[in-house]
Amino acid sequence: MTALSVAGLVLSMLASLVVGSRVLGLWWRTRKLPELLLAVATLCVGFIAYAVGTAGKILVEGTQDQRALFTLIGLSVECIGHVALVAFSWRVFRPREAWAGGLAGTLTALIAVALAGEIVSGELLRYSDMIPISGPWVPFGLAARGAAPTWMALECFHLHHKLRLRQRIGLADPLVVNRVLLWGVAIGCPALGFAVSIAHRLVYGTGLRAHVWALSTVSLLATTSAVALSLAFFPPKVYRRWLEERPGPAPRA
Amino acid sequence: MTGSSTFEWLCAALEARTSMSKLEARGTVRLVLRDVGLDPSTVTPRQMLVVIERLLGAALAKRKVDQAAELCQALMRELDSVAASQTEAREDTAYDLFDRLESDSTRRGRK
Repeated sequence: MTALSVAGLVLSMLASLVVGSRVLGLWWRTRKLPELLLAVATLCVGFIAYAVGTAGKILVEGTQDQRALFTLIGLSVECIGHVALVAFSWRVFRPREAWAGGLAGTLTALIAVALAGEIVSGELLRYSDMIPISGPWVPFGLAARGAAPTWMALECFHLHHKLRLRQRIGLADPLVVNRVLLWGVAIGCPALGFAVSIAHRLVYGTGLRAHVWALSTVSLLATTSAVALSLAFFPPKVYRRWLEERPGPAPRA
Repeated sequence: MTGSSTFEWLCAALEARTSMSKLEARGTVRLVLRDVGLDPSTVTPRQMLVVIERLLGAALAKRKVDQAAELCQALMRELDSVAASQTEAREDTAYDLFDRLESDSTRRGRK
């Protein structure tokens, strides 16, 4: 069961690496900020942070300093990715709305404060060992970082709803409408993963590795995310045909 | 013509050519746009043409506007010519971004 759970996480990392690299390539051609932000977020959160963090847990059995260094690098990379995700949600979905700019600034500040708190309190090490947490910093950090994918997922679902309405009068391509939903699912799954992680920390104090059911839940979410991300960026011909041929939403009376 | 100016143009045209007040004209257009997931501040002339062609006539008829269909035809012709004479760069929207977020190979296979 544990091996299956790890396989799900590895699948998610690979999907993030491939799609993130391709979005980076897209940015190279378009030179548009949203592509850059999304590529940074996908690569940092979905691949680099996981890879460095896992290395900290598996490869470094030596000193606490080495473990702390790997964990710090992994967590910092993850924070960069989440800040990119926050900036993406603001610039892409709400570029003209002042409250969205305020929310983006607030979330960025919370992510930075949480990281500083985790470092100063030493609770940072709780991500790489099995000792229960002894303060609020880890759940606070998880909540601050989890807010980034939560915001983007909610925006994707909201946009999807609006595009479904536009599709009724031929003002939206069914493939693009579905892609927005798939990105919402792909980003929403990690957001749910954060929720599971916070609940687990609050109840047990330790990371998800302490319980197979918790690891399996997050692995299932990661696998769902990987499938959604792959379908969004590499829709197979049969899937595209199904989307184009299925009846669209009925016009409103 | 920008998104917001398209909305303003249509509302002003309806106010001038029907018995609707400014508030009624703006409310009518807002409701029609909301029903199809469009935002008054970002709606483009091309989108508005589709809205006028397919939805505005019925909304005006419901509000007892005389010769709603003829009015819509006239508005479409005018909007078409106004939009064609404008050369402003179009704003990159969330829809445009998600349209681009696809592998080149699958995109080529689609076109």
